[in-house]
Amino acid sequence: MQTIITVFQAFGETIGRLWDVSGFANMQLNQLGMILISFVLLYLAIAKKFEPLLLLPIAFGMMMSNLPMGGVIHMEFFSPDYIKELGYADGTLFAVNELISKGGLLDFLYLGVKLGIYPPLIFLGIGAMTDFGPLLANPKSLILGAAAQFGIFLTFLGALFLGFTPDQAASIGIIGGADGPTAIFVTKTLAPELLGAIAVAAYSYMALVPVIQPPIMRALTSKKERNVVMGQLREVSRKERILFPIIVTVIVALIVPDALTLVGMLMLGNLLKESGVAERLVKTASNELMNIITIMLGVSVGATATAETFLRVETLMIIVLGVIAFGFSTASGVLIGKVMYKVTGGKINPLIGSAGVSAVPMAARVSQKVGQQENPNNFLLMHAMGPNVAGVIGSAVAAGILLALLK
Amino acid sequence: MPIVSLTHWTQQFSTPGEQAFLGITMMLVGVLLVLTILVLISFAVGLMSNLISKPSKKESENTAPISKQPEVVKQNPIVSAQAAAGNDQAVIAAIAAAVQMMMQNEGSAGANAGFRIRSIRRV
Repeated sequence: MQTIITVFQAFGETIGRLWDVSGFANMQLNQLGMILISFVLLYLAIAKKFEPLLLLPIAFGMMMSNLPMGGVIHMEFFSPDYIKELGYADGTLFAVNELISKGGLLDFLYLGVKLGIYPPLIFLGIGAMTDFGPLLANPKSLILGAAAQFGIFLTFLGALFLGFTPDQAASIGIIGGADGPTAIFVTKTLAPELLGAIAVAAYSYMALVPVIQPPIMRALTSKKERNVVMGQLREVSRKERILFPIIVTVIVALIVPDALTLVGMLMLGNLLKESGVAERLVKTASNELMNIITIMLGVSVGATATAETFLRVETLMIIVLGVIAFGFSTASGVLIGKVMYKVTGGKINPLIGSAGVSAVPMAARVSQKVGQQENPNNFLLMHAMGPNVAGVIGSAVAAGILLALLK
Repeated sequence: MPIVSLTHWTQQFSTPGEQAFLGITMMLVGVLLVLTILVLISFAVGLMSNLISKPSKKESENTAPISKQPEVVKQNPIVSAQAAAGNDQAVIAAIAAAVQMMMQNEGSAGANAGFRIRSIRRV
């Protein structure tokens, strides 16, 4: 009898121990909330196809890091307070020994974010895929790309007024650039504690470009302006295409060295493409490398969105400020487009101004779509690609300026 | 609400009024700098285009009269005939590939569509 009792006791103890270390026993309400949020993001990525290439890994990383007892990422290894407490020298970016001895896969993948490796490599791929021809054919479209960055700085100001620190405000404002890698690049340096919220907001709004932009575009333009049919773009020579990335890199690096990493890699990718002598590298940069980095970036950024860092009032404020930033960027692009319409005597359709936000090529497609709703024979896509790719340069430059001022 | 903890040169702007001043200044400087850099790039691109297009215009002006010269006389007829024949083979191959791909896409014929392009005539 005693033996049977002992067996049952041992069985009970074993099951109890397993229960104690299981996720069910350790699940907290806020973690459950985060898992539900990740399910919503997974739904948006899979069913609604909202930026699925990044939103899906982000959502899955978020889910994994919030499943209790999983321990897939240890954000404390990257916390300045924890690093200082362990006695590391000032300026140490992560707890090296702890990371090596106890770190998991996502801790190591997160190093690519922390050290600022992933965003420039994504820019390399973007550069290898981007055709700057429309921009070279109409260099004035660079002004539209610059105008669309106004939202970044206006939101920076708004966030400051709401009580965010300048570093946090800059990271929130950069959402207005509609450029995920740039937003991550700035945030990991200035406000790593907001990385999860800002990445989710940035990529969600990039996916919502076709929803957010058209009402603003229609509200700010007249029927006559939307009907403007723009002339054929000139052909751009190979020499121009090759010289452009070199010129941009030198100019940007001399004025804002902090933007060099992003702009330089973007232009390197483009030079590889336009040179026509590095086909294999172009293929790797724009396909395999880009895809690998996208997975690593998405999962590790998503994993930073833990319940403690995400479920806060600030996240809600970031999401609201993000959409304001995006709206202002769109509006300022369209308004400068209207100025150019007046200056050129009605040769420029102001709708292409909204493409100055750097969601490539979605923002350009929105310009085309809104233009065709007025005039089905109007083809604005190639004209809108100019401001669109200028927006990529513009947001990277804006990021460099913010980093130079606040780093 | 976020905790305001300034640890930078921005630290000296601690009161709400000073922070507002800092924010407005940074906003204006930032916008102007982005605009300046992109306008500068725009000018550089325009300049580059002009510099590149000028010599090519000159080249085309210079080459235009040359093209009126009776070059055919200088050419070796055997070599040019061989070149044309070689070029025709390439053109035939390209047309055959395009037709076959089109037929496959339409599902009207398989890979062995049973057609052959024997010759082409330049019009």
